[in-house]
Amino acid sequence: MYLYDEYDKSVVRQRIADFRDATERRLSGVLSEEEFKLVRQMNGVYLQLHAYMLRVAIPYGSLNSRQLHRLAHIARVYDKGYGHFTTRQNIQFNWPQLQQMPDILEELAGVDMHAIQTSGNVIRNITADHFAGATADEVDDPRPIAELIRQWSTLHPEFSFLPRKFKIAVTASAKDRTAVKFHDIGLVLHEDQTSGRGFKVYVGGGLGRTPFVGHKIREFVPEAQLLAYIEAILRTYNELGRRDNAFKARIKILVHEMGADAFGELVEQEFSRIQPMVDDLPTKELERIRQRFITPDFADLSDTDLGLERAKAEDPEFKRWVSRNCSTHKIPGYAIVGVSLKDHGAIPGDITAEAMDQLAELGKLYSHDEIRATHEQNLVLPHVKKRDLYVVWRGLQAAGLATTNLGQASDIISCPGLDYCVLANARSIPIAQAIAQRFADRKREDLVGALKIRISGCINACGHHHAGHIGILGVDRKGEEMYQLSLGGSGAEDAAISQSTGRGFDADGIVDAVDTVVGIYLDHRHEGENFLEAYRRIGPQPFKEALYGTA
Amino acid sequence: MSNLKPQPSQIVTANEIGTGAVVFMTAEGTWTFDVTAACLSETAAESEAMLALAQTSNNRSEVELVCLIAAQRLPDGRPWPVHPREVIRALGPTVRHDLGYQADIKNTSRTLTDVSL
Amino acid sequence: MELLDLRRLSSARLLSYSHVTADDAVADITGPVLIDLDRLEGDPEVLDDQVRPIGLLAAGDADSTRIVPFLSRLSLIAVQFPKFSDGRGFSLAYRLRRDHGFEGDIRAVGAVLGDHADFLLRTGFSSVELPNNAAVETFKKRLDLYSIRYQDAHDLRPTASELRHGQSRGHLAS
Ligand code: SF4
Repeated sequence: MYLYDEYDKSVVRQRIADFRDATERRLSGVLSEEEFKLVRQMNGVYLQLHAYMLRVAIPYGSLNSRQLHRLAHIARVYDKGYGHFTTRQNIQFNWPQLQQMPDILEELAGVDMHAIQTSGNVIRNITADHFAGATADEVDDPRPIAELIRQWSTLHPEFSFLPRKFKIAVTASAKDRTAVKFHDIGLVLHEDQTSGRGFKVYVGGGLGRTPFVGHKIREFVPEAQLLAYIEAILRTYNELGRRDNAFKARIKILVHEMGADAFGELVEQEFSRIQPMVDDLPTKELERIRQRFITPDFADLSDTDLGLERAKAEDPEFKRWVSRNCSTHKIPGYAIVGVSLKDHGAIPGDITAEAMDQLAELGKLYSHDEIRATHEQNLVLPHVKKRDLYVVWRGLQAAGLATTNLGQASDIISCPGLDYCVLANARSIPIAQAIAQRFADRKREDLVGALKIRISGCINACGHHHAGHIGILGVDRKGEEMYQLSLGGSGAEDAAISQSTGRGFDADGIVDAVDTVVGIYLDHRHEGENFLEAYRRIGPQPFKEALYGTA
Repeated sequence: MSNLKPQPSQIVTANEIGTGAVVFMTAEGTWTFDVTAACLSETAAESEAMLALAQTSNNRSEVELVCLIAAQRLPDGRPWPVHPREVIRALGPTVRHDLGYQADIKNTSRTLTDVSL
Repeated sequence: MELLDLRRLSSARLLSYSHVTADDAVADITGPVLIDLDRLEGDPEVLDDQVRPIGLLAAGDADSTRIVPFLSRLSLIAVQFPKFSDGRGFSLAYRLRRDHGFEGDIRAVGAVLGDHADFLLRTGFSSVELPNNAAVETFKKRLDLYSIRYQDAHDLRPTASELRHGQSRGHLAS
């Protein structure tokens, strides 16, 4: 966890003072609806279908127990007892009152959190690998870089009125857990024998109305020059991004229209103008940030824990949980614990204040005070000793958080859809619930194996439907909720955009259609082949025939 | 949905500024949480007049996002939104019946399950 | 219209410019004039007037390289914000200062909000044109709201990282 210093705290406090003043002026009628809208958006406050919504940033998905307890407290005192984790490592509260908003922000500031730039046409929350600092497959912990970018992008004088919102993700692993190629800028830290440490830079990826996989415009940007390079990208985009049509204003359209090579060329030109001015400050600053990250004081342990082995042998349920939810840690004797927020029939990403408190306690006692939010709307206890796994599992069970479906059919990403969102065309949560119920039979779910189903309630694609093995998009057809099905997407290192199967379905029909598609996969799959692999081999035709007949 | 042109058979809705809560305008020009207590227009001219009245409330910074939505008359004479989106807005999330206006009242004659969504 | 000097927080030393439209004869106007980029490109002789201060009115999306040929003769560049949400003017001002070393007045005109105040100052604007006195007061207040900033911009105050490392930049001394 990065610890704020006095300067970080001041920035957040000053921002709240500013917002409090604006809120009071709005409530007393001095500020108009339009004027205030700009202000509230810059501070993460939306007006949704039923009420205001506050989106709180969780930079690079990292939380400590105090922060998670505070989120629980906010849910209890200012909201209706729960929060909703999003696909960008944020948490949303669905019922806060405007008059209490500045107080909520104070509560957040008390634990070094904020809602700055979680809305509006600005650089949004910087996301990173939720296994950062714990997984063995990374070059280094990418979070200090993400924090450097967070600070640099906070209240940026030049880039706070961009053509459209701007999302940056960072990973340091070849195994992509961040959907890095679906971001405006995707950064992959890698090490090179000769040049040292630097970043692969992808630009112009994104979902939404016109999905694109990001283009690599640079194989290697040295770590010390990364901010200068990002600045070059942002300046080019700020100047040239389209402002005539909100649907065409994202950087992906600019990159697509001018071509990635031409865009990269402009960035290089601008970069060469900035570069001579760059001193060693970023390097020093990065070093300072690294030091303000508390590295867990890992114990020296044997990798096999006899107690764990015994518990697994005695309790098949526990054994199943270990094999499904625990991943390899870089330190012997430790494990990364995945926590599903997708119990069959639950609302994806929702968690009660009580469960937040319980998880925070488990994190404090057993995970070096760290909890992570994933972009798949789940949580993680990143540093658990193998010898503690049984207790942790018990604790998670007590909190209702021990579901063993991670990465499976019922681990569905779903946006809030028409149940909460003003922009929605159709509901997505009930569809997610109904599909998850279809896979409540564990045998069947296990038989199907790895499957990523993603649902969005409108073309904005917050539910990442284009990046799903199975994607579902809600549309409004003359006042009726309809759903389009698409197949073959991936948000991982082999990023791909799912392709529509054809005619849409109604709410019941789409659940059956998913069942049909899964059935075809089971019929056709080769030994050990997952859904995506099978789809890539056999193509869409068998699925279409099963869905619509051969005619 | 939002920004409808004035037409017959509409009601005015908005969000209360302080709480963000969904409200509907009554015949007296006050605001209610109960959609069935809203004033339903007979003509486009009436809709226009209602919208103008609501704007004065907006100008006093009482409500935001003032707009007309299509509504129909229930058999008992009270208004009800036409579009599913507006039904959800009026009542609360369909996946959490314990939240929103639906949770606060028991006396609305119809609930979400009664209307086909 | 009221003018505000963003650095001195007054309007004392600021010049008012009369906007010259496409068909106006510049000679008919006395005092400082503000000329559109297109007119200037088509009619560069107006710059021959050695005495009068001349300003350029540039849209936020103007290519700064088009402005360069005239820079040495300009005492003001007025950057037009077409909408509150259009942030191109910030990049233009930044470029004029950094790439082209322009030291005259850069003035924000058009749809400018109190929320822009701090950002304008930091990207190199030196003055702003506002609709009325109330707006001027809001602007002044908002210039003081944020004492800490993370970015190395065209700015007079040190950044957080300079404060942290006890360092300061040479160009700030001037
Ligand atoms: S995808 Fe559409 S419906 Fe879903 S949260 Fe995003 S904007 Fe709302």
